[in-house]
Amino acid sequence: MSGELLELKNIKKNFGETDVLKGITLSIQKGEFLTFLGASGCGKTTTLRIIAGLEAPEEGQVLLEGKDVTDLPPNRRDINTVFQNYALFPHMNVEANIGYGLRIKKRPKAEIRGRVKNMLELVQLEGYEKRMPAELSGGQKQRVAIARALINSPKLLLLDEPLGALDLKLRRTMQTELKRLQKKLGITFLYITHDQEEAINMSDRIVVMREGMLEQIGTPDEIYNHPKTAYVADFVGNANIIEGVVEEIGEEKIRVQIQGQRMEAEAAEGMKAGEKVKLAVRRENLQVCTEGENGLEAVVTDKSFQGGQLHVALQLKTGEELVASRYGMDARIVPGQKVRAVWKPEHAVPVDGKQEAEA
Amino acid sequence: MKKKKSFGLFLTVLPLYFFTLCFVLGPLLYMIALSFATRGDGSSVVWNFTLDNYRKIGEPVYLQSFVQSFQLAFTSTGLIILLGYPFGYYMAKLSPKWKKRMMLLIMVPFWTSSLIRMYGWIIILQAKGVLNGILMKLGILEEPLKILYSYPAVVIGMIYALLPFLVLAVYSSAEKMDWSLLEAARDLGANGIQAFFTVTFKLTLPGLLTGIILTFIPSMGLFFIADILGGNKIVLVGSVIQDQLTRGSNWPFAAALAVVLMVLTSLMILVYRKVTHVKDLEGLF
Repeated sequence: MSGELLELKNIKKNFGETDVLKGITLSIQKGEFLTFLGASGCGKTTTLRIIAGLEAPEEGQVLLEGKDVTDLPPNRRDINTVFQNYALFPHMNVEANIGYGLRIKKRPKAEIRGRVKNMLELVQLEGYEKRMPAELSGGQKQRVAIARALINSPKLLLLDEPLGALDLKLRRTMQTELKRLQKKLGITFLYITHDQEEAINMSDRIVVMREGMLEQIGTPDEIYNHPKTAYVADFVGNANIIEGVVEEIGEEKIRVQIQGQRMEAEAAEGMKAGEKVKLAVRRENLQVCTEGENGLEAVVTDKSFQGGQLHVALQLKTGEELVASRYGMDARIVPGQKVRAVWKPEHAVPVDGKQEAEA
Repeated sequence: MKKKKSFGLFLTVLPLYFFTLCFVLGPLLYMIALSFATRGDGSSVVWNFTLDNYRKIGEPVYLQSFVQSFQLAFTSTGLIILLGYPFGYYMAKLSPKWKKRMMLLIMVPFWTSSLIRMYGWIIILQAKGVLNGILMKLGILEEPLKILYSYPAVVIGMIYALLPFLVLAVYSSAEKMDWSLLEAARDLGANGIQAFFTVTFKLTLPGLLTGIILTFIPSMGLFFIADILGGNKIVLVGSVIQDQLTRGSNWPFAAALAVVLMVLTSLMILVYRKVTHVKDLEGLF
């Protein structure tokens, strides 16, 4: 990674009464694979459209390689987009679709033909030159859309949920494919998704967005294992959020009082004894014990077996609901049973601390 | 089961076949046959095969009416495209609420007979009419314009009568367009004009061609507009045919004129389709 490619400075946008973006500040490094992760309506697509130039922000600046491009139309930015619905031109065949950008730039015909051929090889669609978009499968359309954008050698490629319409198996293949392309070409990718798995698999960095704000920025490991907020912990890791009071602060661990039980958790900055704390414990890290004296007392309320995983729903004495997951079946756990919920200290991460996600 | 179903389907389309055979194909064949017959006494017809009717069309008077008809049709259609294409295009971009309102505004005139509406234009265009009144009040004109009973008046009437068809045809094809394609074009480096001509125009072309056909063909035949607004200065094929049917009582010759007109307009459509490579004419063909 060598230097900054794109910078967003306090971008604000509203549609009528609703504030869609409430001040987005972010910088994207050259060659990085950055993912905007968030639920629908969090403003990630709007951010992307502003970067592409398809939408103008009310406030703020977009800087591309240090130059202010906020007021430039989309055709005058070295940025290309892979649209969610592909937006292939239905009246042009694959070759003409991919070559569109070069034709607009009036490149010589021989050059266009050569580069289109290279692109088709790159996305493994050789022999499909004369097909019309209507004759392609979803995955093939996707490849054409990617080739059509990449042929212009953009400085930044924006991808708006490009795999959203594909089935799971194809999506996995395309994830690997996209990552391969990005590494090979060294082009900066800005990827949008609401699928946390996709984000974790592909990204160098993930930006979690929520209600028009940046919730947390970090590597997939940071986001997954060290969520800063309850929202991130829940959205990315399907974590349980358990409230307690800090009792004792150690070097690496803290002691937390929950339901009169003493539980251990990871230490975090800015904690004080006697203060309330929220702990995020991912489902797979929450263990259900049928014996023993340690752990939180709970009652099994439900149990279901899905995709090789056993999900056990628990209710604490305080009424809080937790879910624990594990591989394989366990016949000893039945609804109505009194159990204890246990976790390892490093699996309980304090969230929603004083330090809010950096803007 | 399947046989029953297809028989049911056959029954439902049967009236359509019956109608087409009796009222389209039948009269058409009769007309073609008639064009080779000879005029008898009064309005009667003598059924002997002759090409005289077609030879007669070569006479300058009749040839002139064809030329005038085509000229008028081209002029009006051209102007209708210039006015109607942007109209239909922008209408498709309106919010659903305004689309409905515009649609209503386009439909309202159809509630009145087009003949009566043409007489309305006389009131507007005549020397002491509404248009001249306004222009003179505003000081734009000193002398009243003599528009009525002139070529421009006929063109205005044609545009007025046929514009809605082109607007609606363009609208229906622009409405179906995915506007994100325009964004994609802009994103790929096209400026507004390039994006319009490489994407929007191409995708609305079927609608435009349907509109052109829907305006060009009728404009060849709407002779009553020329009669009402053009005085007797412009004689269209339609008027000649009508004249031959009524006052002239020469049915075979009228039939020959109609056949030639039909062949010429069909040729025009073929040429359009060849030139533009559009196969799907919004359900017209």
